[in-house]
Amino acid sequence: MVTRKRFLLLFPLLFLLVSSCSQDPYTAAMAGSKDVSDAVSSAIPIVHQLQVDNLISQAQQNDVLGYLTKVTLANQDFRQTVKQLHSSIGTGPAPYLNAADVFLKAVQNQTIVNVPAKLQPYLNAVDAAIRGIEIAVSNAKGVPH
Amino acid sequence: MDPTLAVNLGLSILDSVLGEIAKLKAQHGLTGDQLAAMADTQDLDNLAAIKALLNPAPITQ
Repeated sequence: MVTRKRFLLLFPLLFLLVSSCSQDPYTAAMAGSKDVSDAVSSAIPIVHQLQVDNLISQAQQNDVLGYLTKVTLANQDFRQTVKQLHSSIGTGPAPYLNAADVFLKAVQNQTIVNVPAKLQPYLNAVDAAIRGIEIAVSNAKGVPH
Repeated sequence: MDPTLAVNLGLSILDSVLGEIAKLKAQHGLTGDQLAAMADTQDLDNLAAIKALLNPAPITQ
């Protein structure tokens, strides 16, 4: 069951990485950002369910929700930067990679202690989606549209 | 494992995968601007949902 969950959570990311080969860096960056938003969106109902079932402490809730907030705010900043890059520069992926690196560094120092087992795959998917942006942008080759 | 259970599990996984493929295929044809707009909306929804979880409404009697 855990393997199935992991597969279903990571499948969209794998598909995104494969499909990004035909995208330009701007579109790949935005697709990656959307993937992060979707991963956060998938984690939120699990936190709610754990709250309802009394399977998560207040401290854990604060940690996890703080992390998801930080990721979401950093994701918004990332898109803002990418939009500015798109309107001001050419098609090269390097500036987009720098923006993705800033995004990753903004959230990677956030540690969450004792995450409930049911939630861990969802947080892993958020992390994988953030890291996936750099790979997607690196593989992007198309022309912006 | 019970063969019926295994088949049902397999069909369930296949159904989920096909659903994901359809969703991602639809997303794949979108432009960067369209994806950005979708992510903007999704993030606002996420922040609202997180806020609601951090500050649950008091139970009225």
